Amino acid sequence: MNSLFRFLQRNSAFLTWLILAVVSIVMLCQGNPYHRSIWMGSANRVSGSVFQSVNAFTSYFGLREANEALLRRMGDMEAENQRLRAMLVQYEDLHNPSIDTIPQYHFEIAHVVGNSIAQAENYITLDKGSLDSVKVNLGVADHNGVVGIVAAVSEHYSLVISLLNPKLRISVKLKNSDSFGSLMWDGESYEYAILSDLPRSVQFTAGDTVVTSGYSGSFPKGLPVGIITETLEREDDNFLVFRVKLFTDFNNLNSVFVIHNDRQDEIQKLENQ
Amino acid sequence: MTYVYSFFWLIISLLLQVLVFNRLSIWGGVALVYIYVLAKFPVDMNRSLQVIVGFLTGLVVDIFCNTPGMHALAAATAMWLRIPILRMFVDAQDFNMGVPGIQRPGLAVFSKYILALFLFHILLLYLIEAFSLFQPGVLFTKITVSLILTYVISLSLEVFQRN
Repeated sequence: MNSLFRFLQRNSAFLTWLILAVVSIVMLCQGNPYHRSIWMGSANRVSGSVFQSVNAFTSYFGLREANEALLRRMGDMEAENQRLRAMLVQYEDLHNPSIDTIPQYHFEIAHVVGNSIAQAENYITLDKGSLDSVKVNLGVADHNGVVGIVAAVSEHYSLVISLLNPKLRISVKLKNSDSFGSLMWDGESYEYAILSDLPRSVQFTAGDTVVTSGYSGSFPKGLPVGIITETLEREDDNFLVFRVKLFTDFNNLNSVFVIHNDRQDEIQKLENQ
Repeated sequence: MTYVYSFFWLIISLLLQVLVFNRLSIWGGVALVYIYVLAKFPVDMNRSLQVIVGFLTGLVVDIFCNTPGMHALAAATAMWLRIPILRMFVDAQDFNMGVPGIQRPGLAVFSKYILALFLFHILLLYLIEAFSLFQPGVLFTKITVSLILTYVISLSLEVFQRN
């Protein structure tokens, strides 16, 4: 008994390390971001409010660029709006005017309080949580393009899996085609991601725009993602693989939209039947 | 008193780490200032306690970075092996130095000690990270940039403190 006690005493540092190492490894192995405890991440109350109070100052940096991008985007949308209005008029002339005009998606503004781009798996913390009706699986975008998907929510904050996280795959398509593929980050640069699983038959040119496919329900169809910069050669010859330059500037994220899909529950129910 | 001083700087370094340095990455590499403060904890501190301090420090960084366990494991291990690493450069009779630094054991030895400790910590940290995404080029760049940034900032702080 005495010798056991002496052994423990002599090796107490090692034993402490061993116990804490096991605890760390257990935490490391909880890889699925959806199953993680909200307390072990930046969306908990303490770290969320620390991030938020500092962000109150730093969010002023880069406002000029954000403002210009917004104006540009607004111009594009105005043009699109005009075009759609004209089409709607034509459509109403042709058919009965009883088309479904209730929008399926609505957008709520949230602010980024925590963000990373340098890690192997990046997450974003937003200042809206379950009290603002943010739910897991909602899409997040900013004025440039897709940002990520909500993985966990606390009362006042939510944790978003960034597009810069290999655990997130989103369904995308080329703007001018209906074949879809999936987009995933390869960890190399915060400006690029990899588009794969597009059938070889797809017609494309470098510079083509990549948009969301709308199949996941987290994002509406046609939300901008990026442009194709180069074709990559992979062993699998049946599918095309591209490098895509992302529209979203992850290094400078401030205000984003949380995308609420009002029919998501209905779709989910149908798919689960 | 030394302990109060150490913990005070540890909290300052944690705030700087999560609010400033984590946002300033160069090619994915980040300066890890908290390991410098950990390297300067008193050498006669209870070793189990050192391991616990390392673990908790890492855990705070993990919570802010959404990397549960990564910094905690690396920092706990670095703190456990800190004294053996220091012993590689300092003779047993000179070991009673209190807080290691530029006065004792001197700049030459101290710079070797923190280089070894930082290299160990940063290697371990990014190897753990590589389990979730393995990119040899990225891994090498991150380790190199991180080590250089951390080392340069730490040595500057050390020299600056004396003046």
